[in-house]
Amino acid sequence: MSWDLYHSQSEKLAGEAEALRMRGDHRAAADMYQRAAEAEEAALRALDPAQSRTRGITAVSALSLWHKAGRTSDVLRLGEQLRKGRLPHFAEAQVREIMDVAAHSHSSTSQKRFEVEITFRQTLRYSVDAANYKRAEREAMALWRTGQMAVENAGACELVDVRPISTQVESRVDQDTLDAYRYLRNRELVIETLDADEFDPTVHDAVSADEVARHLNWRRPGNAAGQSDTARAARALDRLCAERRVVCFTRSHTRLRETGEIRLYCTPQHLALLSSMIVDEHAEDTALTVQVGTDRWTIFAEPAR
Amino acid sequence: MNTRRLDPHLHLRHPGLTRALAECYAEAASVCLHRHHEPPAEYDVWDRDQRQGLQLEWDAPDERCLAAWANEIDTTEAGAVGIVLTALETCIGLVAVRRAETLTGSDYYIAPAGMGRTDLEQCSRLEISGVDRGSASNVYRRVAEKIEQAIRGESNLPALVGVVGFKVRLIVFEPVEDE
Repeated sequence: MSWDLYHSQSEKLAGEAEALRMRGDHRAAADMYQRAAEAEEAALRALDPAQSRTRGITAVSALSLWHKAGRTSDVLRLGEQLRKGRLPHFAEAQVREIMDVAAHSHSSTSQKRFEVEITFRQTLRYSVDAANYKRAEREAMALWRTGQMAVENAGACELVDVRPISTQVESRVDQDTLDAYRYLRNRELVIETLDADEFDPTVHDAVSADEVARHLNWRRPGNAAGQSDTARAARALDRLCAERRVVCFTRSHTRLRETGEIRLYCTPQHLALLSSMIVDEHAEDTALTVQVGTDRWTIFAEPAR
Repeated sequence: MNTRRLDPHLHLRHPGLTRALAECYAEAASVCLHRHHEPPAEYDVWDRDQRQGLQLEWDAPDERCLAAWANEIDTTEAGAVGIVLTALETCIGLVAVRRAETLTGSDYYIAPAGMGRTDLEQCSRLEISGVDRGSASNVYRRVAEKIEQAIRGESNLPALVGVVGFKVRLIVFEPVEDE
């Protein structure tokens, strides 16, 4: 059969499916959309590769029909096939969009897992003795950075942003984990080679999830487009930790205008180098809490000078 | 002045429609028109700079039909397809020859009436939208938004945008021209 016959069959079935949907018979509509999707996929296979525009439109149409039939596995299967082939630009973008939507709305009735980022701003008031405003500010900042109690928590926190993020499909997490590990290990190998000086030993710090996201160019979708997708990197790195391929440190923030702890990641090989630099077991201010898999312990370490 | 009755057999002249869809679109269009007007209603149809009059006639929907089309958004969407395709055929001489699905709806591909069903290489895509209660400026704003979306590459060119303003009695056709 030709593209024309298959596509005509698909159009007829899709038209009937839409009419069923508009009349509220969603189950029958889904069955009809599935039959339309099968016909449209057959139309796609019957196409001459030279008919680029028709190929792009038919590809998007087949994928949309699988999505409307609620067949996420078929959306992802066909989508992956299409991404390996050559499609016109408009179709590539639409294929990506349909795959993302299908992956994130697996079923309108099933429970989905979300991670929700809540960003808030808190006002604290410190009481300090100082000669002038500048010094008072410096004193208060020092108290805040070391986590000293404030004299007053000035009312409620102000909510800045709440951002729910749908978690990824398993296949993408697998790929992200692989990419994050490659980046982490390659970085360590390069800096260990460049810094190999036995008279002046130094070890570069581990990296944060934010750095991994920035280096791998993982960007947030939607309204926050352009910002680093730190949550995605953290998810991949946490999986590497669970698999004991990476260790995780928590360390106090050291930069001005930051407080709290930061999580840093490196491979166990790099950790061995860091451990060899331990010179003072009681230097509690440079303590590192290390997590390997589900185990957690603290190393009292002082970086080599 | 062209005069047309809303036709549940639009599929007989538009090969891209099925009978079931043609009936749905005609029903939805009658509900949209019934919200604001009594038959017949005269609409201005603008194709680029050319204005034509289109007098629409329809049977008032009964209670059962109104209840079935109670969802305002879905009804406006389906009704817009019915009205825009009627105006396209009557005032410009083009018909829907193919249909292809998109993530949230479907695209119609148009060609001159009588040309028959072709593949999609030479067809123009018709982008349809409906404004229920808005003014003429709302209709033109919707046209501009649709054109901007198409130019940004979110859809496949070339395209023709068709927007109906139900209350304001206006139908606008504008081609998408990439500069």
